[in-house]
Amino acid sequence: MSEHADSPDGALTGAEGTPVAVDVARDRSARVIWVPFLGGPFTWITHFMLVYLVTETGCSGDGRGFELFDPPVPAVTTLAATGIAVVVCLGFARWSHRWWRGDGQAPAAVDATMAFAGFLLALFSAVAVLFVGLPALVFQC
Amino acid sequence: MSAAAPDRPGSTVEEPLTHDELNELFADPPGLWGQLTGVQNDKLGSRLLFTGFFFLLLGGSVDSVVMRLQLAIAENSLVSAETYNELFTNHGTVVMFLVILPIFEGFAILLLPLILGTREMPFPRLGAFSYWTVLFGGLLYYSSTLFQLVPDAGWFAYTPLSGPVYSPDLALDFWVLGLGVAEVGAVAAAIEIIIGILKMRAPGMTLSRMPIFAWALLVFSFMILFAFTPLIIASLLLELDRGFGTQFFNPARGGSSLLWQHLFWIFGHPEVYIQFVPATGVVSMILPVFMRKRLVGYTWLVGALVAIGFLSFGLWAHHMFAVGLPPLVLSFFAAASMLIAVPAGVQFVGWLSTIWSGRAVWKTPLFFVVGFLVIFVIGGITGVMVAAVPFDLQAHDSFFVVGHMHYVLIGGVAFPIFAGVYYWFPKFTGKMLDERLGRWNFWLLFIGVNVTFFPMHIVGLMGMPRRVYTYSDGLGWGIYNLISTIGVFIIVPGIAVFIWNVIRSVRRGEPAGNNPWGGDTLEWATSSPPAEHGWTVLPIVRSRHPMWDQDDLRSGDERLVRFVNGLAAWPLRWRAAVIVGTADARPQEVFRVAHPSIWPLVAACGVVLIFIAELIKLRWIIAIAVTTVVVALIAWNWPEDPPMTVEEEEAFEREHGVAVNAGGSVIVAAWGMGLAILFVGIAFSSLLLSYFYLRLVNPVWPPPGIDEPGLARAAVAAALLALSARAIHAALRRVRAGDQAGFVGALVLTLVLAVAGFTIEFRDVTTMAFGATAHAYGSIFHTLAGFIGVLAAGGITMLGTSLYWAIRGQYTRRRYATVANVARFWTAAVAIWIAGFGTLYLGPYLT
Repeated sequence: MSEHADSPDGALTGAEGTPVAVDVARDRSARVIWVPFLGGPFTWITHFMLVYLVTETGCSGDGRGFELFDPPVPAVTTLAATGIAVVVCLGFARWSHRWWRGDGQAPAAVDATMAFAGFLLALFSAVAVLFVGLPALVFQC
Repeated sequence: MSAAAPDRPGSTVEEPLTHDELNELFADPPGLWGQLTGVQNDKLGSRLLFTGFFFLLLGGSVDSVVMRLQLAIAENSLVSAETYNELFTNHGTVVMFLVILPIFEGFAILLLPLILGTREMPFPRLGAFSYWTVLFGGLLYYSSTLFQLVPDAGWFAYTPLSGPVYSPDLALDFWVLGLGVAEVGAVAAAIEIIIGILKMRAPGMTLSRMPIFAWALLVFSFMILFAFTPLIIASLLLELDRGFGTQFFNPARGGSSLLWQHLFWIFGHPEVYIQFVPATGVVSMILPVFMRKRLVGYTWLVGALVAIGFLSFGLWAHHMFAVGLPPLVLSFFAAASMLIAVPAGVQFVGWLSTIWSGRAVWKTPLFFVVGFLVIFVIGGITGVMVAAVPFDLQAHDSFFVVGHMHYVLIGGVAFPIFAGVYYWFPKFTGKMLDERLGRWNFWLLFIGVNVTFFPMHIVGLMGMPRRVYTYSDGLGWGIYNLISTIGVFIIVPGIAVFIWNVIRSVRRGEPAGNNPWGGDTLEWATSSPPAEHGWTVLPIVRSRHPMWDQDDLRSGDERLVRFVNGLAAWPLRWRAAVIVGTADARPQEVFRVAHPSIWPLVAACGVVLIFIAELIKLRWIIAIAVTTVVVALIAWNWPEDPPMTVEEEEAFEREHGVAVNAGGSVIVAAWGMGLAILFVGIAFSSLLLSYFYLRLVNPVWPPPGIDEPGLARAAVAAALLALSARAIHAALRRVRAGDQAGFVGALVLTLVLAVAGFTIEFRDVTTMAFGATAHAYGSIFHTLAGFIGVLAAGGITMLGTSLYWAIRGQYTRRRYATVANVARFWTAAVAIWIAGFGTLYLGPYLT
């Protein structure tokens, strides 16, 4: 059924010793499908935490070393991070879209449903990143 | 409806002769001993459901009736201000911690094996441990009433009100410690559910064939892991302030009361979605069945669930709009709070489209689902209103928020729970709930909820603050409050009708049959009530709606058919279950799930004893309690002789191409350890966040009079730990190569290096010139160091146990999963050690 089933004797587990043959580490395709699926939302939360922490530090922090974060650093960082995160989200959207259309080298475990869901999530994440980040055009702190 | 039910393939196939034997194998022992040692998922799931409803009646109903009576008229004196404070604290606490969460975890543990087509949950003993801790935690919290020490600082226990100065008695300790036990149970169940969904499904049930309910529970469980862990850390810090004199939340000594708010709401807001997400899963299961139409937009709904799971962790500060955060920070959280309406809206479009394209069969579950749609959309829209900062500043802490929250939690969560009970009750009792009583149940609740909570929006906009025990006559609030109180007396008979319906139907309800609603998912293929093991022959899934689309559940790929039949006929003298590939759902491993045991109960008793000892300040008992937990965990995981020889395992593998681990699953163990490491990592991150937050509010760090810590001994200790992490991997390589002597030698080296590093660091920290109680700097330094120390001590205990079993020859080339897991844990512990002590020692030099 799994990879080792296709070996000549169909019993790699016995030959190699558990857990090697049945360890999830061998199930690489199962792991790869999560990357484009969750890539958009992960980018969103990473962007969110980054801009929040930098802004909180720059606008509330006081002490040695924190002058590096003084305004306009929070707004500039937010806008720069927003631009990068949007591009990354669109990259994940493209990746998923290729898998959905069957263009890319998708692992066998990927099906259209998962790929399309990843595409939607990445697109929504791009919009969400913009929505969170654009107020930095108005506020310095 | 059953007459028009679609195909029922599962009921038409004759069960193999092994059915009765398997049924007996998976059953818990009879009598009281069986109740104490039981691990069977039906039993644990039902218990969690009953426990949740029990606390609902106590805290959800009685408290709210008294509060509404008090507020019915102006200047009422039914209860005092103090009692009112206790009532609203208890009401919020119980519902948020002890009602909805156990109910949905109960649904999950009860239903998932049937819905997913597997025989058991992956960690039956962890499930039992989870149940006992939730029960004991709830009872410990509630025991405060026996001592007239009821917590009164609100369900969020804001500091400084909840701190040692303003709440000096033990009431808040009951809150912190009782709920702490229950939180441990919630996280344990979440780990069990995640692995159950990802690794234990029917052959062929790929991720995109998984019912939406399973997706919802997957998101729900990950959210519990990420949300409850910071709360456990926050509770720890609060108890340290209260019981040990640390200064985390005392601004006069470098602490911050806002730190509590951040940590609490990082839990608190996702908690709302933790309740809402599984509720939407229930709706998505029920709606297609009663509209006789497949769910419209399955893919979009999966995406929406995942999006809600992520976005809900970017909303926490919208509870803090009024505390003076920088405008740019406010805009981040306002944006995220509004954004979450998008995936929620996508779900609504999916449900409405399903209704639009289907033909309704009006049974009680559908009434509750439609009630959900109507009420929740109102709560959702008012939620978007309070996400806008200017509006929130007006409505903050007013009854408008109370109205909004109850529309969300009753419409969005309670109605789907009732729908779910009406829907699945026949499966687990074999009896139908009465339809006529169901209608009464629904209409009384629907009318009562709207009459009670709608006027709260108006009176809130008129200026009535929440959490006041009375109000002056002449403010114009009286009529709205009176209407709200009348509404509660419509809700109460609604709940009474439900209870009567359950009792009556259990005794003399109409027989249900296997698939009374014509459901499309796997649980409806089993008998009602199902066998203890659920499935004798595992179903083979070829569709998202197997009961509608497949002629039978036993045909498919020839090797799969041979495998499921082989499993049904072959390894009969042990509790065999199957692990599948996460994405492709192809069988990967057959393993033995744990059998009944008293040790989960003992471990839970040990955990609750730790908290009780802290509560009554008899701290020497903590040593006994910790020993109890350690002994229980070792006994819980005590190796047992596998029921098959290696040769028998290999014979099955040769025939079916699926690995067999009769001694216990390699994959489940690895996933369990992975999630445990994730849990520890989140806890560590929460402490690290606290460190940086405290650094942020203290311009001078360390405070005057404290020098920067010396680096030499910490560097040596970290180096020794890093070497030990390398040594354990060398040990793994030796055991894989079959070199027993090298394996034991490398384990000894690992242990020696670990103990040496630990001892050096322990000595350095305990001889520091500053303590934990003078300033928040010392508080976080010693707490973070203590956390890492406990982690390392746990790792060293595991290494010692592994060495003992290695010397006794327990591990072989084929069976060494336990020590592989210890290596994973130890590697993570060392990484956390280096990051944590690196921050503590280098932080003061860098900033």
